[in-house]
Amino acid sequence: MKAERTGYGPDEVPIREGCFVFPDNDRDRPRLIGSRCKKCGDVVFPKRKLCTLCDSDELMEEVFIGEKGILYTYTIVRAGFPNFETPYILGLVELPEAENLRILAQIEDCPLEEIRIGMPLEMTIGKIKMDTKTGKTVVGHKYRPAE
Amino acid sequence: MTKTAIVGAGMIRFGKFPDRYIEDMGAEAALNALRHAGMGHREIEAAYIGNVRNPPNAGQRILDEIGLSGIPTWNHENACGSSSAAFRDGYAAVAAGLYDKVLVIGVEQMTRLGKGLLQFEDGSSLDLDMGLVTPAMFSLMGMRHMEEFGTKPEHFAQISVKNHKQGTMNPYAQYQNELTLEEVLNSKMICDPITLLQCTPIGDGASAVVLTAGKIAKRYTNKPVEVKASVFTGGRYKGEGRAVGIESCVRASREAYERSGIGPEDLDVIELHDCFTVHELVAYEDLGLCPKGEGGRLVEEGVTALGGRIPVNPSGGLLSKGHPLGATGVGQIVELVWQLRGECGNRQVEGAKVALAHNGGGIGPGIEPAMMSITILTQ
Repeated sequence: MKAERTGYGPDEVPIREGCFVFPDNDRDRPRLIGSRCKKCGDVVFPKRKLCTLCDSDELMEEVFIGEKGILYTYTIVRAGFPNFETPYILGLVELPEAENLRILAQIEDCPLEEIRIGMPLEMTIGKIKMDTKTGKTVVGHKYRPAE
Repeated sequence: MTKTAIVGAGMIRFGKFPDRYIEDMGAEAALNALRHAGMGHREIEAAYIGNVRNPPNAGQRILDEIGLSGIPTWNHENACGSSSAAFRDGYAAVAAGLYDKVLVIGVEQMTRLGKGLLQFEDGSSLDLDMGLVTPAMFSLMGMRHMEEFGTKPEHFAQISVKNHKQGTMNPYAQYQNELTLEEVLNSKMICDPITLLQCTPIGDGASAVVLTAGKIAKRYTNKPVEVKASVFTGGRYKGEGRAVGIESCVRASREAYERSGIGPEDLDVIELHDCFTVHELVAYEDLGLCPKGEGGRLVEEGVTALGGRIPVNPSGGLLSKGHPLGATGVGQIVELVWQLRGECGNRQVEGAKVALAHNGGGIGPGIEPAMMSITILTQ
């Protein structure tokens, strides 16, 4: 089983603050930080302040999600922004925590010819791109074929 | 609500003009529209301008070029739909009886100001930061469409062949060359299944229309085009349950059909937002031209080519014209006005009386396009 990183390496920055958590004493795998509505239970990612589905006026609560997912669709980006290594696989990953909960993520550790809609995936944290201003590596949530 | 009519339409040829400024391109298109209407420039009471990249108050400077100033002027940014938003606002003002004569202009300068369709800074959009290049939005839909419905890459590619062929008959199109299916399929792959020749080129350009209250339209033309519906909305997060279509297109077009009393089966001609071929195919379904999943069949049967039952993009579409962001929305309206007035020469859709303009784009929540505009016109 591939070891999961537990923090940022030297010269690494997150794609966003408050987007994901590394494994630690409470969990052995990384997680996304989403929002859950206390009234209807719907879950969204990225986080939002109020529910997108119901009229609850209570702020949504944080929830850890996304350990596993299914590849709903994908494309192979062959011509991209200059600070990305191409080709890379971009997917919509369907998460089980709510209806229609699909998030955009790069898919790693999968040869291009083996990528398939319907593949079971697991979340990981890895390199997304280079930050052109600082020269640092931007890391964030990604998915890879589940073992 | 007051009936609203389009009495003049004009544009400049879209192309790559790094030495031209939006002020002069916008003014040229506006002048063309006013001349088409036979209206004096100082009759205009208010102006609405669609533009993405301009410095502030572009509209006021464009109007000044044609000798107009001191009138209410609104500058709209709404990504690909900037001038569709401007049009909707101008239409709504006339319909509400606020003004009798307004000018709507769409304009963009891209070749000098920077490459790429939409430009964001890091931190604005998580999806963009993650590597969502604009074609990828539609590639994700295309790959799922192929999986669910057996649509083939050839179905998407054929749309580029169709639109380029139609573009050869449009003197205002940036590209006026025909392409073969092989050329389209073998061009550089950008994001599977979208190849380079299935992407709209960037460009510069301007377009304009003159709107009036219905009761005075006949002063300017004996062929006023009536705006039967102008619907503008935003993409909805988690909107499209299956990610093989665009929920806001379904929703906006249904509203437009209801408001106008016109259905998809009544349409004679459509100008739609073929930023990438995949978008055109799914739009056939979302507009109700065919059931979900059957867009490929319409392509195979030539239903949406000139001469088919419901020609789509007789102008050559964005694929041939290019996509000078702000100019695109009103550019679609200009083509449809000319079609409804029988002024389109070789690319004329015979007897066209009912037209629909579809403009949807921008990076919205959950990969939905940020905006969607549906306009129904009759003559």
